[in-house]
Amino acid sequence: MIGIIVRRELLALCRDRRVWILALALLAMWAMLYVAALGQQQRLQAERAQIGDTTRAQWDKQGIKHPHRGAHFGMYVFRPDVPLSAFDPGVEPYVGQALWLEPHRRNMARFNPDADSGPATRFGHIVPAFLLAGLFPLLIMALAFSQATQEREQGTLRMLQSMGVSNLALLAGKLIAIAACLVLVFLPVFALLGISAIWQPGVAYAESTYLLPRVASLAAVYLLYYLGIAALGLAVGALSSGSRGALFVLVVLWAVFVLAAPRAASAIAQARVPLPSATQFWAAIAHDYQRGLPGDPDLATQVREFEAGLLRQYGVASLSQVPIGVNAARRLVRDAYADKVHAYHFDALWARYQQQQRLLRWASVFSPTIALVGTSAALSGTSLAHQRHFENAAEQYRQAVNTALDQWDMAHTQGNVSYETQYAADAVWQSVPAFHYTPPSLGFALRSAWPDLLLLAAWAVAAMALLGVAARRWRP
Amino acid sequence: MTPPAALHAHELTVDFGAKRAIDSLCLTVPAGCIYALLGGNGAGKTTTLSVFLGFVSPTAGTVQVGGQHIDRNPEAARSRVSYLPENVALYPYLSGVENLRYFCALAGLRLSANEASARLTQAGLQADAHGQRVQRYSKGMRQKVGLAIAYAKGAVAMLLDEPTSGLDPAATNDFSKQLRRAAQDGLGILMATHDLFNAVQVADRIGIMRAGRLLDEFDAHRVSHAELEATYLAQARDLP
Repeated sequence: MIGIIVRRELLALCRDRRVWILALALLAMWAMLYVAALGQQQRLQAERAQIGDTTRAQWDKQGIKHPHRGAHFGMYVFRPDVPLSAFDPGVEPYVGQALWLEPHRRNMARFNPDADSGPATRFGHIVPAFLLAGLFPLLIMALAFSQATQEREQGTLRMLQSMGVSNLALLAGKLIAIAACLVLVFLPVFALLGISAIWQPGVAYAESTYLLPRVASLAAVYLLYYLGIAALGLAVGALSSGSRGALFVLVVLWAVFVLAAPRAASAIAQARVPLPSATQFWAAIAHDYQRGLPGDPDLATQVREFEAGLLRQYGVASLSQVPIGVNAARRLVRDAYADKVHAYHFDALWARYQQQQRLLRWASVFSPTIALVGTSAALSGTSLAHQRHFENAAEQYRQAVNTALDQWDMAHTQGNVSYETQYAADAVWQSVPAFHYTPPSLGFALRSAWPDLLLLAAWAVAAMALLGVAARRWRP
Repeated sequence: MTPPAALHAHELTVDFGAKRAIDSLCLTVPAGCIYALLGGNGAGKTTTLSVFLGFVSPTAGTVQVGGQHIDRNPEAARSRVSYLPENVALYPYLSGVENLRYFCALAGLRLSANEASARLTQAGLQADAHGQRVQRYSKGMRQKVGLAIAYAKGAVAMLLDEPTSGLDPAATNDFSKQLRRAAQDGLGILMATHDLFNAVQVADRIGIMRAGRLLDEFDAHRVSHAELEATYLAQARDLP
């Protein structure tokens, strides 16, 4: 019986021009936004590639100088633009996309794209993913509730019930038909997304093995979200006494899901888990570097012990007699400790970001859109977890470069050597490998987003349960 | 063994909160009989139909459709009854043929397009309207599709709620002929109506309801329109 209902519903939906005009208008808007975002992504990528090439060429041709002065020349590394960021930029617009790598210090990522935005930013960010997560649900709700209210208002519900059709079968048939329409509309969207992302010129990691599972997962997650929204719309339509009441309830729910709950949750998360100011953050690092982390001796003591150890190891009376570069060896010790202190404070900072994210997740109880946004960003490779993955990779590279230069210095000098001495040539700079970042796998994305996925599934199940309740209460 | 009545209610009582909508109603519609239930607004006619359809549960008493108790075996009972409301509700985006095929399929009867078209012709719908979307249909045309649906279901009983309300005389006459044919085919028909003239013309038995009670019953072939009208108005004015 459900099959018969589904076929009729599909036929009616196909013949309802209003639905298609609205869907096509929204899809056209989505396509325009996506093409614009692709253009912006390619422009940014080209700029970054040019800056990256220039700074690397400058690094390679520093000439003859002290190796540590060369290290202080520093270099920028850029987060490669992930292809799906044109679809869902996630946290990208708000966090830095470049890291300035230098000795002794781990920097914060800088140059967030939002800072370069034009006056249009005043009207809020409308990205292709927001259109799918925020505006399409309104269309789905409107479509779904009217499927239920029309049956009552045009009198067909009474006819159907007199034919012995159960309400549950009727609502299930309607839900399946709406889901089939959604698949019909959105599969081309995600197919286009996959194809355009793979074919983007100059964008890193556009390999199909990276992208296709992500695009397929995105399609599945969005459809799950829409299925929940459609079930909710049908349930509200069946439970309401008329179209007006159902529409009012659903518009309020949409406003809570898409507008109110995410903003309120963000504000609460920021208030409950405040982040340290930049001044406080760097002052704490400077303090712990000099005075030592809890349980560690202060830096001066650590250095004294290291120098005493060097004298003992080589059986000499003064550091100038040590057969390796003492300044470089000392730097290695000091920087290793600096790395430890930075890691301690950066981990604490990331822990606070994660606490904020956990609070946001709790707010998903009031809005499936929050859970979807988190999952979508993770699958697009633009979540906070992905940003941390990149920053950690850049930090490892920074440490490796500085360690390599210091080790070279230590091996090529003896005793204390003045910083004014110049003995490292271009071959040394050119021996430093370029930064190659490999973005994390789909498994990483799913692991980081599983609570959001679970919440999204719970929402869909709850919406289905509500549909079951509505079926019992649906009267002609 | 006597076959069960198409529709049978015994001591049927329905309360909506403190209000008694039907009060100890005893009513039997045998197979092949058209029973016209007359009464003013609020008399309980539509509620009686709703009970036979299983939309409203009885507070007391028993209700059977084709021998099946509606409260004990609602699905079997519903499968034995077809329903034609005052305004036949059809899907406006579907044609007459598509509506008929859909409703029949729900009742478990698969009709080809040609079979559906033949049944619509049988119900009196002009052939050129069969493929048109029903949003362009007049009320009479919709009634004919509704009748075709009711026939096609193969039910033993048919419930009609003000079926001729809003129809022109020619359409009413057409409709009455179709009803007589259905009765000759063995259906038991219960028709709630205000139309005294039509009731006398088409029905076999006539009952008058007021305030949920069945006050009078007549053999329609032995009562004139004038007699029926006088009784009906007297009951309506609460005269002896």
